[in-house]
Amino acid sequence: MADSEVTDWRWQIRRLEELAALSLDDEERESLVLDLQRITEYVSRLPKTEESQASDVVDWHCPLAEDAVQEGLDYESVFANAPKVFCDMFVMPPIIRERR
Amino acid sequence: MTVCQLLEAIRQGSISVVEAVEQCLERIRRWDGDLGAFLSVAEEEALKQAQELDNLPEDKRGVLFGLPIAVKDNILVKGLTATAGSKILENFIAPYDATAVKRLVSAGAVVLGKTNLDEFAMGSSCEHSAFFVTRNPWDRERVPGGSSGGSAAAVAARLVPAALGSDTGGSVRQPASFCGVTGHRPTYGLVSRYGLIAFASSLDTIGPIAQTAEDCLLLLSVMAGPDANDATTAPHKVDLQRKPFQRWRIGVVRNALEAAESAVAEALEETARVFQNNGCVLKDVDAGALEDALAAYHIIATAEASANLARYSGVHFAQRRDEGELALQTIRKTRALFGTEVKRRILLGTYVLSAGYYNAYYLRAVAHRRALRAKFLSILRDIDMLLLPTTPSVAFRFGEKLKDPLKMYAADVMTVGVSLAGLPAVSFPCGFVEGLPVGAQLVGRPFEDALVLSAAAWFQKQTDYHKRVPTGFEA
Repeated sequence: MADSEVTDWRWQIRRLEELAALSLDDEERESLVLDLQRITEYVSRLPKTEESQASDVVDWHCPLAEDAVQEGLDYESVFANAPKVFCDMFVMPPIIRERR
Repeated sequence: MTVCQLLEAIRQGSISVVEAVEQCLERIRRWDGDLGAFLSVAEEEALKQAQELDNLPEDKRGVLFGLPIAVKDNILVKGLTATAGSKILENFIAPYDATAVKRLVSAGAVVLGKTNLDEFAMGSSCEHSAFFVTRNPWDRERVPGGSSGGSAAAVAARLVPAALGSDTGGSVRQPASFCGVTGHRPTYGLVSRYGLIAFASSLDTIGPIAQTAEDCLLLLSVMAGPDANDATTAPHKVDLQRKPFQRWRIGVVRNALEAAESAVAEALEETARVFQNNGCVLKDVDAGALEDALAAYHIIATAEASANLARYSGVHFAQRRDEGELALQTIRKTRALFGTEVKRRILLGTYVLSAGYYNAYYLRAVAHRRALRAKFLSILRDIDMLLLPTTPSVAFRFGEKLKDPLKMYAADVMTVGVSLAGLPAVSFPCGFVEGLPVGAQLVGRPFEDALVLSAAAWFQKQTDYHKRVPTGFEA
């Protein structure tokens, strides 16, 4: 891989880390530079598909569910799996603690 | 004993449910320290359930009465851990049963424990489990395949007669092939995904692994059917009765055989001859470039994974790492618990969905998927099923592909196309190369799962590959 490509991928990985809320250490980042460059090069070889290739066969044997309004779940079912409930609401652990 | 043999023995009264469970637990105690098939064993719960079943009146007994099973650790079993092979869910206890598990247990199955897997089902060797590797019972220096490697190894070593796996790009079929057992990927929509920890929702399926195709069909017939908790389940009734032998028209996927190692291709040719010698009609077919399917699969699966795994932030899901003052720091510290392969796939998925790359990657892959499904359905108009290898080679050695993700991904080259098309496929043992099992794959039309399983079951009546037991694991 050329130096400029490596630099591009380092920048790209930092951008992806931000988007995916991940934080990699330097070692992980360096190994992923090469891996992602190779993987994206591989998947980019996928040829473009003409629409006609996908539309000439009727999709048989796959009946769809009726498109109708159905009753939603009752409160009891919804909260059955909740670890903690307060006044018909899920109780979540706080994510920002008070500053002491 | 196979599932059907054990159920018959229990029905006849020659063995009690407690005895059947005890025998499996004894084998797990004896062998699993070395194999690493199980992440957790629910000994107490299983024995308690077995005792309750033994006390049940005969008219209340289900079709799987007393069957000990193992469940892959990304499928929820109420009260048991569900780690998905990840540190991020290490302490997660499932609050409810997956629909597939609920149906099996209602029919009388007893869950003995949860089996090892590649983290979040992302891998083909079980080397990406955050806890330990699982070894292949046929050669402990080799991988059992993945991601359902724990389930396949447990069945191969006769620790349990059957297990559940999940198949996104081949995760039931590939380990079944490497371990010399039978594994079925159901038609997408036949078995509810409710309670399966999501990897790529448009591809994920839950499937059975057992010694025989007949056993897989029995388990499938219990698990299948519409579920109000999964809107992608098909609403109609599917015929899952065993089909009698017919002179089936079988399409031999010639380009897949050519891409496989010669010994694997030879075993497949021999399999085709078994069908042909009994009156089946063989026809060479070309199912499209295998590498293109692999590329499309990795774009779509990683895109969906990046969205599905966004929930593991320590807010709603995952064990929280409270190490920062800001919420984002907490989220990042929590997500640092993901392993390298999961991070790699999340980043790739984020990349193919991001502005500027979405059209070039994701939309192109989705169009390819539609075309691939159309091609499969077009081929299956004139023939009943496709025959191809499950894997291009037999089980590989530990570390052989670990450093090179592209080589690892290529282990699924024979299975991902079928996953993209949403078709049913069964992998069954069809030969041995230097003591290692080879798997053949039969692929059918949507919802004709019973047909491919019946064809595999018929093949197993003609051959004995599925009866062979790895050395040292004999009863």
